[in-house]
Amino acid sequence: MGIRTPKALILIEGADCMGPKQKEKQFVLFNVAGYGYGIDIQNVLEITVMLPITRVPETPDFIQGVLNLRSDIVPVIDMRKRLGFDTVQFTEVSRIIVLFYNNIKAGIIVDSVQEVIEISEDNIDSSFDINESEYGEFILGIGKLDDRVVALIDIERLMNVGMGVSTI
Amino acid sequence: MDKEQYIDIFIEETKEHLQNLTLQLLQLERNSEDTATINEIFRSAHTLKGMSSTMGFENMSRMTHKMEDVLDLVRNDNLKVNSHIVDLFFKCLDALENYLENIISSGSDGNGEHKEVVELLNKEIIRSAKDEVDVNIGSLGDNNSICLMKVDQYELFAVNKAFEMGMCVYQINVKLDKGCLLKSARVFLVFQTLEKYSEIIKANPSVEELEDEKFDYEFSVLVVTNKDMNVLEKAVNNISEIEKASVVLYNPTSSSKNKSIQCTPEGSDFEHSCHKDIQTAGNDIKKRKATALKTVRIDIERLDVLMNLVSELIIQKTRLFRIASVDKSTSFDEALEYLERITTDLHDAVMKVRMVPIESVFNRFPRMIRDISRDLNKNIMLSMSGEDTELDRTVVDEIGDSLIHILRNAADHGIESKEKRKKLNKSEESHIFLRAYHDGNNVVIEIEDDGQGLDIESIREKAIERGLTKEDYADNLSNEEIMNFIFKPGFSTSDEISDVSGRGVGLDVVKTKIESMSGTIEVKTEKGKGSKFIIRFPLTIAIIQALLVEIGNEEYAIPINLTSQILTVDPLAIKTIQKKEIIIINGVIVPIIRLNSVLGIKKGENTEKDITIVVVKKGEKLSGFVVDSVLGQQEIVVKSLGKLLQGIKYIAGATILGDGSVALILDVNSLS
Repeated sequence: MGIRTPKALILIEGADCMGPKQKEKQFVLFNVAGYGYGIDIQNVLEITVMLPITRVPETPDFIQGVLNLRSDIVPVIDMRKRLGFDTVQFTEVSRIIVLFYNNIKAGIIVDSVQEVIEISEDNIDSSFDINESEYGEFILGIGKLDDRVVALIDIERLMNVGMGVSTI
Repeated sequence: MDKEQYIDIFIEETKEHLQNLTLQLLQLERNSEDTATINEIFRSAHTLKGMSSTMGFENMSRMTHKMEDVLDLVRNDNLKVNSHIVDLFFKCLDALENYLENIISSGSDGNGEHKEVVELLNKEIIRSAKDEVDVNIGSLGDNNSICLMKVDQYELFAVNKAFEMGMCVYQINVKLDKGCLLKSARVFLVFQTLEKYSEIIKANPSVEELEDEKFDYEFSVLVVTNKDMNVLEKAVNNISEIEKASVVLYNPTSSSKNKSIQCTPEGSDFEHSCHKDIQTAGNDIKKRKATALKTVRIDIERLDVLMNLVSELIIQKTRLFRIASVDKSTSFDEALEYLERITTDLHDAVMKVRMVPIESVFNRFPRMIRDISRDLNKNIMLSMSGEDTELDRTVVDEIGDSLIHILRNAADHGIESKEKRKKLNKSEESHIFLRAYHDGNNVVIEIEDDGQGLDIESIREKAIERGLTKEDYADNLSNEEIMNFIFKPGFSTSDEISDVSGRGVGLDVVKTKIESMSGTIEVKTEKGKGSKFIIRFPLTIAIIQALLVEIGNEEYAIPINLTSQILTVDPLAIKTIQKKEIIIINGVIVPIIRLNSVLGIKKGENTEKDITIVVVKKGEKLSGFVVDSVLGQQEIVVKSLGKLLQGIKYIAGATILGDGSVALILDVNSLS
């Protein structure tokens, strides 16, 4: 069911690509509402196809619910809602990227997952004033690779869902 | 000897004995004439002495040895028990505990700390010896001067065993040349020589002391051999720089009175008495083994792994049940029933492993309260009940400090001074009650004192002073609400910081700790009569029986122990009073909660049909949850929703159903 992308890919592409010498970071590239986003592969546990999700009452709109990931209950964020896009039906290529950050496990629903890319740190531009745009707060910076640009997700902000009193 | 192998058992058993000694001493303090208690103390001290000397913990065995001597005097009415003696014994216990801590942390019992306590014991012995000339001087003096060595129970057993096997036991007294320079080297040679012919049981002074040359020129060795004594004597005498070595037959007969071993001539009754000794010693060893096997120490993490596996198993079992309900086959059903029974038993067994009696925490309190009441010059009686109440292991491990804190508070601030109590016409003897008991699905721990109670006024003032509330706001607060300020950070009513309590760690820490273990704490108080802290913990909650209900197209679980009944009623039975829906069940007014609207569930209107109501209880209070249908009862594994959704309203957790989907568990407390 779940495609264990990260580890497999690292092995195929050579393990040394994460070495500090090249100062290259790996990102999982995904698509939401036609835009390209990247998320640091170090925070990605696995990528799975859509699974049944149980709605949880009294949660923010963008919390899609919880799912059963091999007997583990994982909350899921709908990235379209989180990033302020219109929602559409999930499709065959919709994926859930399971993240692990700061001891919190959570999944994000994306329209599709493309590939894993390497971006050298020189090519990450965080000076670009993305905070101007409405949902720009979730963007860490812009990564450039050849002629492509991807918005890199700030996981800490993404995970800060403002729930409860004593979240972290 | 390979000590490592036994050190864990040694530590566990020493703890048990020290605990037992504490209890018995407290008993003795109350009734100084009780011979049964004295005997019990003697036995514990004696066993400790044996164990520690076997393990080579010299300080510990010296201390227990002296304790035993003093106790022997007590036993033989040569010494009267008074508070001075009891205090001295408590000092010994503290010292022994300190030794044990050293052993646990460093593997050695230290470098002769607490010598002063041993000295005090010696003084007692000498003092009573002055009174009673008949006292066995042998037990007081230097061991080296005794002609025959003393052996403890284990060595005695070895000696007897040797006799049984037809071997002989000899004591070899060796005297080195006065001019001998490398004494330890000579000792080594003697040992080496002896080991050729025999097995060494014991040396006096001990092997360690001999190695460190902590002896004058003489030492004795106890050996088991099947060789003739002349062979040994000759061999040892052949070693250079040995002035004299003499071998004597060692023949033990234990005298219950002073435990020293005397030489008896070989006689007809020898074998008989020897057998008896073997038997008793043998029984002793058997008993020891039994206690050692009674406990197995398991890392709590391993238990958690086991628990998780059981949870997985139960989920899969539920899944099988779901498949079976589609595909009917009798034999399959039978197999499933059997599986069900096994998993339930397995679950119970694993849960029980995690449960430990709270006794291990309570045990240390009598001594603590005794010391405190002495320090504060109060006469406090601690009464405990329900020590055998079982709680989850993690809770038992963590609760101790919190209870100490509350108990110290009660003794220090709660209980009035003797003079004040007299003035208030209260009995001079004050009481603290510590109770543990089961209450439904909770374990309750209560700490109650008959002291002055909490002063609501002063709490209110303090809360305002500390900026925890505004004055005009505080006026409207109920007494309960004001009392809750004592659990707020930065609150402490005692103006002076005393040694007993008020060290800056407040009840807020206690509360946080208890809540982190999903417990609750509340306080009840009556001015002048006392106060009562009530702590509640849920029993382990990992796997529970739950009622599965359907609302709209969503499934929810309600813990079955929180439900009282399921009703199907006509919509007209629901009345509206003050915009609130209620229903009358058996003459009791029960508020109705429409789960679909509270939980925001979309639902088709079908007001025509009967309404299904699950009646839940929150303490004594009942509420009616309106659901669409009840799907059935099921064993569910409670899982957390994860950190991201921590603190969510209305939902207590989640569970995985047989088909792999997730159902949420309703938090009855926050809903009703």
